[in-house]
Amino acid sequence: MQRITEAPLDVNTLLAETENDTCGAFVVFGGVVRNHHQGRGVAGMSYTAYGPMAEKVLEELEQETIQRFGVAECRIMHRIGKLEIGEASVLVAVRSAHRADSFEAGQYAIDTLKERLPVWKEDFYTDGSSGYQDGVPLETSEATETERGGRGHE
Amino acid sequence: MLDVQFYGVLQQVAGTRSLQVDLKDDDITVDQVLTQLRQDVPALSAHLPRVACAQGESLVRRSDAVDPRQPLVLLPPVSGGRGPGQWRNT
Repeated sequence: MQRITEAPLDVNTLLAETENDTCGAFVVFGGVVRNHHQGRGVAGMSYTAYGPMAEKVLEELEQETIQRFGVAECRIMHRIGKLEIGEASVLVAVRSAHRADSFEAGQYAIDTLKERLPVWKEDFYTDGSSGYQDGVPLETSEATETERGGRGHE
Repeated sequence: MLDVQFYGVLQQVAGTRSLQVDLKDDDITVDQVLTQLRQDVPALSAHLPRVACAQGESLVRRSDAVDPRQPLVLLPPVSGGRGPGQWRNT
């Protein structure tokens, strides 16, 4: 299955792929393109990804989430390309026997994705300008390793 | 020659999606490639401390040897949104 896609994301497809009769709960997080960023009007966005690594990061994050929270299912999909306001850029679906595990696992998955997934967002503003959003340096950047070294091993 | 590829804002800064770096020898580290890039494309210098590097599916560290057979990919900070603990502000 492809986790990084240019095709529109569909919640029902994700739910069908994760059907599991042992589960009494599912939680779906959807990230959606909004019409503003830091006080500026946004007309649309473009997402780019480093594909070979992005697919691997999502696959590993799904497995990590399942093992860490004991949930039965975790599926993540991220869209790339040009998106309009209101379109979903990311979906996370989690299923578990009880709802608490799904809530916690879903939040962990999306928060961790934002630290690890090599995806970049370029805003197209309503005034005609555009710009990449700043983000989180990945773990092998000099800045991250220096910070980690300064804190010592925690 | 080593193929160096740029993503995100680095494409704008470098003015290209990729460029070729002439390796002095095959036994060279990621850090040495970045040092050469600073000289070849000075505009990248301010960004490099927050840049991670990858080859294939995996991140590589500054001290790692570069595999000259595959591109060295430069990845700026990822902008999926705000990280853990900040999610209420998104």
